[in-house]
Amino acid sequence: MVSESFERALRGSREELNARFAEARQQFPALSADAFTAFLREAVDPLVQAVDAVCPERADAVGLAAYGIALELVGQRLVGAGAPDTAVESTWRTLLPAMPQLLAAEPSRVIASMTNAAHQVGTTPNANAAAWVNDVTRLAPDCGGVDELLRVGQVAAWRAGLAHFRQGAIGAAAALPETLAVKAVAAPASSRWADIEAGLRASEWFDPAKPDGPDRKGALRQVATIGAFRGLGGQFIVPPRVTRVAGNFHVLSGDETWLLTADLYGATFHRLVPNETAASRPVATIPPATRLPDGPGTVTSVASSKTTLAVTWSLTHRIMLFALS
Amino acid sequence: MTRACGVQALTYKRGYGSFVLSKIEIQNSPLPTARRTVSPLKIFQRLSSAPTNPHTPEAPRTFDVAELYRGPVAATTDADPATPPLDEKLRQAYFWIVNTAIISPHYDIEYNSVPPQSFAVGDGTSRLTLPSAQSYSGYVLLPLLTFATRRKCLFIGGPGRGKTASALLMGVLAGYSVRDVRRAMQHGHPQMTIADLLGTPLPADLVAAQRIEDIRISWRAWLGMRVKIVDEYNRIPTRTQSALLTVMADNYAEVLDHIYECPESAWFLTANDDKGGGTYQVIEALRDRIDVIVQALAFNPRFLSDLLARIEERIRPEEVVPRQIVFTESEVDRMQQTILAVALREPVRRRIEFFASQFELCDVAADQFEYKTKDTARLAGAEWHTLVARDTGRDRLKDLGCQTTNGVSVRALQTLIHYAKAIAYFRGNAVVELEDVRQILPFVLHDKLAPDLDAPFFEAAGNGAFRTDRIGWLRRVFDLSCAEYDQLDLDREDTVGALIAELRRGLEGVNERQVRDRLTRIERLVGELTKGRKLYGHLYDDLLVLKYLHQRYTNYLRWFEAR
Repeated sequence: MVSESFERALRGSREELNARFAEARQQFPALSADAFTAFLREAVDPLVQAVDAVCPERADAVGLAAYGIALELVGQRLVGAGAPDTAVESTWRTLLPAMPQLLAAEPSRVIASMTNAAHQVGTTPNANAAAWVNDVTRLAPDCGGVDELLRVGQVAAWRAGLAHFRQGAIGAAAALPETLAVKAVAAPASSRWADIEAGLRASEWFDPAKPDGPDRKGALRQVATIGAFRGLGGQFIVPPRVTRVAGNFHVLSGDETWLLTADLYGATFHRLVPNETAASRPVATIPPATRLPDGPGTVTSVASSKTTLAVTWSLTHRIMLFALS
Repeated sequence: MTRACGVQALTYKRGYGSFVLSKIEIQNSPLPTARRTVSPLKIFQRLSSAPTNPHTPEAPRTFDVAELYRGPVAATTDADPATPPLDEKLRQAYFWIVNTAIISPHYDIEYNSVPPQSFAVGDGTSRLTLPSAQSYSGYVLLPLLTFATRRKCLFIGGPGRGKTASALLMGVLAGYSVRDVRRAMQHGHPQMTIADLLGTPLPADLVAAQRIEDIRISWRAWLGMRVKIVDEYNRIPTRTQSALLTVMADNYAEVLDHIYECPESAWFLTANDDKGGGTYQVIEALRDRIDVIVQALAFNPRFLSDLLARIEERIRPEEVVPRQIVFTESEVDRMQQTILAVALREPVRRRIEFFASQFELCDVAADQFEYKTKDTARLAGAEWHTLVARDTGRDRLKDLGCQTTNGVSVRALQTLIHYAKAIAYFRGNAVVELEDVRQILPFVLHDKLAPDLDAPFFEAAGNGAFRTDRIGWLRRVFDLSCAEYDQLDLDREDTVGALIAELRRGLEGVNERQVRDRLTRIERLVGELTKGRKLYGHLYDDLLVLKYLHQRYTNYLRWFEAR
């Protein structure tokens, strides 16, 4: 059984919805009627009910928009058994029902955007999809519109580990109302956004939640250990080397090269195509006055920016990152 | 419930339409037997959200946080999406037609980034090539390019192959409703009169008018449309064809001394048989106005399941065209202008020139050098085989000109340039590549360059199929022309080209002595080119241009002497 409001929406567009299901079967031959029905009942119906409670005249529109997107998700097996991650499913069950007003305003945009973002966060290695869902769920009631919600989602994705979105996410946060921006980066409520932004722009290792910084400020401190052997779910076939190219960290392993982005919230690797890998020659020269801790084997490569020192070792597939500021 | 083929699958599909809603306990009868109203069918209206012709990103890589909201779900906005660039929109239209609207596309326009894999089939005379770069279906691409450049395209092929449906799609892409396009489509038939085609005088005016200019004409609505469709044009009576020719060629219609100026438009014509098999022979001038000819290829029965689904779901592609790929009039205007701005640079242009110069020469057609052309022989009504019999001394297998009974007209060259630019634009390029010309040329010259099927080329081993395969033959002829061009090393050793370039720099400041020097060089070059050489098409054109240069300098010298 489904709720009365959802049943009303389905009944009102029955022919069209049946046709869309039939068409989706052409597009996605593996689309399971049972799985789709279950998803409608367990994920879409609560959404419609949530909207019906605050804005009943928009319940039908939300139901129809959710129906279409649910078809795509079930058809592509992005939800239910066999889904590559649970982020999309928990977004529908937890996050979307928490924002009925925003759903009512622009149902397709909100549902599709949140779904795509959840999928992206959920499929990014080492990203914390649960943290993203919790963050957006926490902040959604404070959003004054869909545009603000989307900015909040971007900030939350960055904080969930999508380090490559760092610059864009800081910009997105800056476009939010100050109180919401401060809340979005989990800074103390008394903080000023201008100070937080300055700290974020100055160093990848600045923590808005601790604006006064770590106790050993200025000293070399290990902030992350990233990467792994491909046989254990990582990226590298052979122990990697790091180098600095055009202001970016490049990681070389065998014939392959990655671009590395990293900050306080996480690190991501992006495989480079051959014409992007020119001039990637690693060196193992440790900067003067830098004292590295003991590692597995000998140091095979060192690369640094103003704020970060990346080091690889001969007996590990992992890369150590040290904060320099 | 089993997943089976054939009839069982049909039963299964018929069931699931109602299955979903019945599962969630909605009453009433199964859906598919009831008549379904046409609804926005999103699956059939899906467009590629990824770039349709992506290029490798430049280093260093940058990340846009907006990418967070791109993903497996297509619709991300309830408002109108941002308008993509027009070339991207055109490609989206192409891919929508190829992937959704038509069934069983054939990729006969092949591009390769690296040498393609090629497989010999059977006794080795058939080859299947797997292109290594994005390749296209000519049956879809050529009409689209015609739409973008507002030119004229003829669909040919047997009945029931989707010619008319494809033409209809083009009308819908131009923003017309399916109903308007259908109503405006002209269906050729043996009783079709000029009034049927163009319009009729108002009967009341015919009775009351004292002067011809007082008779008002009720013009047919299709004349004002930006996409004009003439179905089965070879069934139109000859006299009416002449009226159609005026509209096609000069863009106006005339009835009782009244003129209707038509807007610039794309034309789509269909014919079951391009070789005069219609009710009426198509007049040559009308055929010549057609820019490209595309053949509707055979349906691959492997796609029967798609056809079945379309029947069951009552899907008509023209009725579900996504609005994102519908073009406004001003967008087509802009597209036209941008296409014309695509560069066609000298190395490619020279190969087109070299190719075109192969065919017009007919050494025995005249004594006067300028008239040694196939057109001279045609105008004189000479029998082709008697001319061929008199044509001696040339290697008739090697000479590409011997493969045709006519030459390439100026109109055909103009069309080739238009479409070469259009396909380059479609591929997202600002410059025409040689491969663009190679791919588009056969569709342009399909009906323009007539093969001499008695020529030795068609008798040669392995060339028999070219008697019926016009596209393959023209592409082969262009390849042979390019090979000859390379062998002559004309990219580096183009003495005639250098002399033309010298004149084009202007005569300002050129003194009498320099003119005499240039005249001497031209005369010496003519001597070298004619000494002991057979006369081939490209040499004939070079000699004519040298004569032209010589005449220009001679006149200039005369002016010096008269000063």
